Amino acid sequence: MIESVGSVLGAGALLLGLVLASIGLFGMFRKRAIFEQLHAAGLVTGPAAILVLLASLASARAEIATSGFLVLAFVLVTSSLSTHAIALAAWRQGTGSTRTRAGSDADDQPGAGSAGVARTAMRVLIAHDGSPGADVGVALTASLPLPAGSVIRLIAAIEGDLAPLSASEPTSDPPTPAMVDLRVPLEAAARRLQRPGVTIDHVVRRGDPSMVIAAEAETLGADLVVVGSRGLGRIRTLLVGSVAAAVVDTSPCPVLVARIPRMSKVLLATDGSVPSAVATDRLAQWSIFEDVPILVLSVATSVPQYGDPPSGSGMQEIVQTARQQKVVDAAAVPLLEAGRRVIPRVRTGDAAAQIVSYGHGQSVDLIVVGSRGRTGLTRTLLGSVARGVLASARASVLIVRASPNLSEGWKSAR
Amino acid sequence: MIPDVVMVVAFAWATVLLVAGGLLLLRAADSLHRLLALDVLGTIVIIVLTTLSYVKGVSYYIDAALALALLSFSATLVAARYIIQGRGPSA
Repeated sequence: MIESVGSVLGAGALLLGLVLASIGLFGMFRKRAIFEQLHAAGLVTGPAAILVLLASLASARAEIATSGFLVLAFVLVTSSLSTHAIALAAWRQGTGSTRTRAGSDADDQPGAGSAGVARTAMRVLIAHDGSPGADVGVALTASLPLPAGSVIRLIAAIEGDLAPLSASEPTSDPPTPAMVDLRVPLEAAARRLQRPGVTIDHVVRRGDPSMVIAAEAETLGADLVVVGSRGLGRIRTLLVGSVAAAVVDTSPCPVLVARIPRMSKVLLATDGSVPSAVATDRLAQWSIFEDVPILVLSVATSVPQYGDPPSGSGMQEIVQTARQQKVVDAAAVPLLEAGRRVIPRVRTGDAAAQIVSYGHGQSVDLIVVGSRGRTGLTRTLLGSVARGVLASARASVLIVRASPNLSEGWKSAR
Repeated sequence: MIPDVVMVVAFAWATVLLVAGGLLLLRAADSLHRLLALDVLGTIVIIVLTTLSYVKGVSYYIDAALALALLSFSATLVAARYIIQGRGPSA
């Protein structure tokens, strides 16, 4: 009797622990911010582990129960300590920022003006690490016809060095030699960007580059983040995790990965989705695209849809091409209304590969793609079109992400 | 005694979780996320070893889990400290 009760309890604890661990892992896939991930991880390292170890009581073997309890006691102490250590490191990285100013008063207005009327002036954040790739970003921005009243901020990130554990108030640290070193290229870049009507300043911040850039874009109320690219290949991006790709994931606004220092021909890739519509919208609104020819491309994949004619008849391809033609036309309308020069095109095949090869063939300088953003496991396994384009295109890539809230708004508006 | 079916299911499930944790590690954007993923992965390995020891009915695997918990704990502490001080590998 007692044994059967024990076995039921043990099985229950074991399975409940695994359910909790699954929920925690799912949460870690869903959330990208480190503190949100810590919250989800706590479920795995705490209750899930404890429940699984508690089930050792029901195993009816003395050695297993003893060892299980030993591990249980150990995990109780260590899991909270290691979570605390990670949280502390994240907190230090996030707050450990020191800024230098380029003597302009632009600091007093970030984000404040966004409530006004539809402004044409833009706020641009350029990430600069002193590398040649970053210089391409500066040159590209310098070539853009930014409207008067625009704000450009250059940002350099120092990865979390020089903060001793006992540092009480990191913001009051005096500028260190590393920061002074970084300011020199920043000031040179600021001089290259100088032009009438545009406010330029620069800051140096401490912490993980992608997070620092995302936070700064938020405070500046940036319309656009510009990052240089070292052009790591697909495999290396997966393993190393390039800063540019990380910025694309974390940035609150569109990200321009600069590879060519000019913009004379633009390719907009569209698939009729919400993110594509948002990207189209940006092209229509931003005045920097006024005098540039825009190729609008839609790629028909070879996946048949319900109601299509049977394959092999040649009809299928015609039907799909017609479908993509509609998508392209829908994207072209707002651009034409905004007075842009539009050239529509349809191609067939793998989306990312076709976008890249077509852009290369037409010697396009900039490819614009919409991205659904974090799609969790799906992206890890399959890789989105935007990622594919970013990994293999030689041209600069502008990735416009539709935020979840925005997508909802779009859907309800239709 | 926990029924055999439950234990086998639990072990398979824990293995799936291990794979998911590995994907999480691959996906991590910077060293902090990687550290957190490794910490969680360590706990999942403890869970896998514990269920394995239930399945086999021997205690050796839990002892291995104890050693692993000890190592992963100290590794996490050291890595977190290195991230703060900036002498570790860059993100």
